[in-house]
Amino acid sequence: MAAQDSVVQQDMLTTGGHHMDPPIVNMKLAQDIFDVCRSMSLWPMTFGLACCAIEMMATGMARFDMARFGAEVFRPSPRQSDVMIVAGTVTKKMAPSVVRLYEQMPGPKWVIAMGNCAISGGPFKIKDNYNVIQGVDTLIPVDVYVPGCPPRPEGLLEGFFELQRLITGKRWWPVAAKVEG
Amino acid sequence: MLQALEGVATQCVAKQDPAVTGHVWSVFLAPGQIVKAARKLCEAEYSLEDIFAMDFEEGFLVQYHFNRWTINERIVLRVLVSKDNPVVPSITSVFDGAEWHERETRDFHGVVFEGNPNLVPLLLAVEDKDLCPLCKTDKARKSIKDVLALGEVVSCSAEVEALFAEAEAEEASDA
Repeated sequence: MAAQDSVVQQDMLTTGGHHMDPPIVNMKLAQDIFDVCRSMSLWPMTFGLACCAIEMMATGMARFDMARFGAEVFRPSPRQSDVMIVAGTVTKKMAPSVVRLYEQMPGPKWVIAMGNCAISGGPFKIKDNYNVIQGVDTLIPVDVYVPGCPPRPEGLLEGFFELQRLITGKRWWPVAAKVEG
Repeated sequence: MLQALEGVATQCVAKQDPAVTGHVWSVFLAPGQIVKAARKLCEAEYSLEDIFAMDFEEGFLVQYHFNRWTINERIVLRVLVSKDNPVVPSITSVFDGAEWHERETRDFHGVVFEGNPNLVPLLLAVEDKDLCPLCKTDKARKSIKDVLALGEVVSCSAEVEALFAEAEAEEASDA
């Protein structure tokens, strides 16, 4: 097994971590336009680790249809992806692969931690745990946390809205009305 | 009678109630006999269901489940190995699919399968090779006779009888 496949190292990210250099020519207006374009064409990676992935698939299919909000193209390669949805339990054995996939994504890139396992270890945050990473944010920088076990597709959509707000500074979609009773 | 295992030196053959244990036959074997027994069962068209170990006070009890598609005759082969030297011959020469089961058992209990062509961790990360996550603490560990029932004995050696002896004596004293 190659050295990079081991999780002995604490910091698995390359030098500089998730730091990204600012653009050489930085024009505010052009950047703002780019940011809106990026937020409306988020390409998530086809990448599910556990049962949360089922809800992620449901979010992509016709009933919930995240294409309505500009995130329909699930890419089979990290080289073409903008968003990594960590949908499920990250085990110690899987951790190096998760980090490698994150490193392979071109910037700008974002991470959504979906479900309690990816956020904090969830039901696996116990004394006798030996194999589950206690939160994917100990491995890679996370932008949006979507809690739930698993979260409803609406929850994941709300996570995408939050990510779009992070990118553009504005919420683009109406807030769901409160249900009485 | 268990025809398939004829010619294999068993330590104990017992008929069990499938409704209670899920097995029709329970067979105790010495580690050296397991490959021969697996080959016999393979020839009799049995398929391997799984391999796992249980952590007992007496040592690791490695269990092999076999079943057939045509008749309902689930067999469990049981091999008791000591904690100091938990080595069992691999049956990958008979059932190729046993390789992963043996690697899993190696991960969880540290039982070494001699002759397995690729005994690297299957489920654990490589640096956790000797973690032994399913080994019990001394407090939680039980004796074989408290967990397993011997069943309706067909033939039994003194060693296996001794494993279950005390429980029977206690029951007798209770009565």
